[in-house]
Amino acid sequence: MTNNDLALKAHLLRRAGFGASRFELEQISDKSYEEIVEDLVHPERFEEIDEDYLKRYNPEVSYHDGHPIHAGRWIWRMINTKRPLEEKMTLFWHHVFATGHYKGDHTPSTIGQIETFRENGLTDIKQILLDLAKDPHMNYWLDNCENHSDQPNENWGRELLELFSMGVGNYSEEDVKQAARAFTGWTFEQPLPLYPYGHYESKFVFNESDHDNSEKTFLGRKGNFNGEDIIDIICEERATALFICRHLYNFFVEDESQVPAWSIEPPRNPEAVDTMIDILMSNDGEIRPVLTYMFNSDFFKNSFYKKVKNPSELVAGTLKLSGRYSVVLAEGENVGTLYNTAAVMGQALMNPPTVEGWHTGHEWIDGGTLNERVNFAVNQFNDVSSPGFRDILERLGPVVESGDLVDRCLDLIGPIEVGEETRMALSKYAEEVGDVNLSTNEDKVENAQKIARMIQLIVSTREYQFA
Amino acid sequence: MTLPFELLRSGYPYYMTLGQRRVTSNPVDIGFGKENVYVLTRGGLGNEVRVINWEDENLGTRGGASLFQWPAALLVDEDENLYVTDEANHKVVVMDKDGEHINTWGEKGSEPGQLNRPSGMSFDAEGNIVLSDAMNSRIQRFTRDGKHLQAFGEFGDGEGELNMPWGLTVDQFGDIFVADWKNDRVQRFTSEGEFKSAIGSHGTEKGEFRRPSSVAVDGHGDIYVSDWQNDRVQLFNRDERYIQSFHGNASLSRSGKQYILSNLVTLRLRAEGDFEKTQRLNAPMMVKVDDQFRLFITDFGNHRIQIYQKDAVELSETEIAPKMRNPILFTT
Repeated sequence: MTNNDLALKAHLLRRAGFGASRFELEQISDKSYEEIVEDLVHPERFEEIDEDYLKRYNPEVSYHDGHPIHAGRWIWRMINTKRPLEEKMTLFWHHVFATGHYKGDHTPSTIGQIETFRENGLTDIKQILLDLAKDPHMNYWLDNCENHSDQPNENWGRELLELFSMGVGNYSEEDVKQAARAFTGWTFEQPLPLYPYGHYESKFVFNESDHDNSEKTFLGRKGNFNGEDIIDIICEERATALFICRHLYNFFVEDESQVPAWSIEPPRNPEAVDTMIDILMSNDGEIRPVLTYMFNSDFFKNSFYKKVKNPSELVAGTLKLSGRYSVVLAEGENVGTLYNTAAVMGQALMNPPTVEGWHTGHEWIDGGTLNERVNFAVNQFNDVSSPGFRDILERLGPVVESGDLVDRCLDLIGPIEVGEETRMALSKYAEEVGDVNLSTNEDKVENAQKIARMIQLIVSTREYQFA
Repeated sequence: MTLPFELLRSGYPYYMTLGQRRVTSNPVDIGFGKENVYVLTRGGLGNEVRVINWEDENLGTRGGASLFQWPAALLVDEDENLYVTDEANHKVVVMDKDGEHINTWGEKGSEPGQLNRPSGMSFDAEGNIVLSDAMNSRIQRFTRDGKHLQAFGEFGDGEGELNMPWGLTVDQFGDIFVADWKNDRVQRFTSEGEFKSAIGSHGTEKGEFRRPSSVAVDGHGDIYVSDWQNDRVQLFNRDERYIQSFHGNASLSRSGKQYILSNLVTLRLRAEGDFEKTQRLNAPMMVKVDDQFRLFITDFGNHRIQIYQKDAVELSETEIAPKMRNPILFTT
């Protein structure tokens, strides 16, 4: 595997997954880039992650009382899964169909929605929207449980069109009203109370007696539409394909403007998005062919460092490098803390700020969050006994000459490319350190901190903030 | 120490429920004093020993973060001293019944007497502690003050080999039953650590397990296994033949009833919900029996203890027909 091959595969795994350790990159060294893409879009080829160890040592994931432990569990899955795109698409749909835990405070429904995205994230847009419409968490979040035949509530109908499918400017106010009528009676089973024994699940219920059975006119079509008919019609619209493909491009390829600006700002790469739309529409809304095309495209391969890592990517990717929070947790590790780690960087998983979701790109970074991001990454390499750092140390070989130290470490952490200014700063430290002797165990103990410091400098760089 | 020749099994009527969320939150084990019931809890709602009584009153906490981090199992001795294994710090912590720290012993390692994530515990007939040394895939025996006496078992899935054992118990004959967690079986050893037999394999059918977490044996030799990821407890007779499963039949605990009756909305929600769900086990972690043939299940995911009372008639050899060599259809 040439360095270029390695860098491209690392790029792919940062975007379609959450990064890769050098060991993980070696595991796929005999596969071509295209074969890796095929593996990524077919997660069913790989075993599901075994959560038994997690449940044994963080047993609170077996109950459903608080969402932070489950958000942390999700990050743990991002770190350890053999199906990285499955988790990445789960995050993608959570990002698009932002639903906040805080309103319902009903953990089984919150995590149920995430599990649904995990199951259907690579299927087709019709199935995904239908599952979403039947999801109790979304139903409560956008008040469809209050959408009665004699008293419609338009919240879900409006957001379905505005934020979840077509986007502003592609439908009328009357279409919103008609869509809302079609979803009357779509509600959920009353879950049992939290006390005295914890939460219980809910599920979708169609209450026919509360459904408006009269004729509706929606996007120019007339009929006695139910919610499923509305979704069918929405999915025939090119505006929906544009909306989804632009989201995919923004999430996987290159930071776009924020969603509210999409009605006035064209896509950054209109040709790429147009091709993605054509593929989506000619494949009945299937997501997989679009992703396959996108990952194999030149525009994707040339998009190195054009995206700011979202906090989940930064946290999971860094922990993959340090080897912490692995399948068998180390003593005292609690995945619940990972929720807060990402939250202080601006991404409280399962609790997006509004139905619009998170603003992305450079908006992930401000004075406070940058501090959190850098401190977190640096702190992961304070402990020179962490498995990931030990692995890096072993790979560096018996002696690292001062002139090679920067490149060797950049290579093992990514490979990562850095700008001239960054390189000069790193080289200055390498010169101060001199040649590093790692020949014996005693040498490694004595000099581990020198390497750790270099790694810490690298994960503090501007370049490390980008995917 | 004799077992009845046979049993007429009448059943296991549900006896009572103890505890509720925010009192016995996430119970992982249970032990009994003269009047107190000690419930070891672990999770986001607290890592501590909760003290309640048979009236289900909350009598406070013992231990906590200053003494242990990942509490896994609890033993209570005749003086009501409390022994707690700590998987994170590879130790056994000893407190008196008021929570005063008496002793801590154990150190991380794989040499005889060292520990790597100690989990389930049981007293033997001499009052020594037999415990699962999970990451070392072995069983060790210690005096109560931590003097090492015995070790047996090694990693593997063959007879007598173990893979991350969890709960265990010592029966009245000194045999040691181990929930061989990652191997999805229960293994039975002599007190010397010789393999005797194994029960179960991976699966969801009767007699199969998904990560069994503990085992208990009652005075009739009946074997109870908490089949953790199948959300049930399975019962085998002394010949290791499957008898029945417990999926949970919880009624409201006294404290739970009081809570609900004082909250109008909670009352309404319970009236509207699917009642059957309220009874079932969720990740039952530890199973214990007492000399009154009561069966205690720590219903981890539901923050409570489910208790059954065994109803059986002990039979002598002359009170039941001899075993038959072949089955018969003429059963009237």
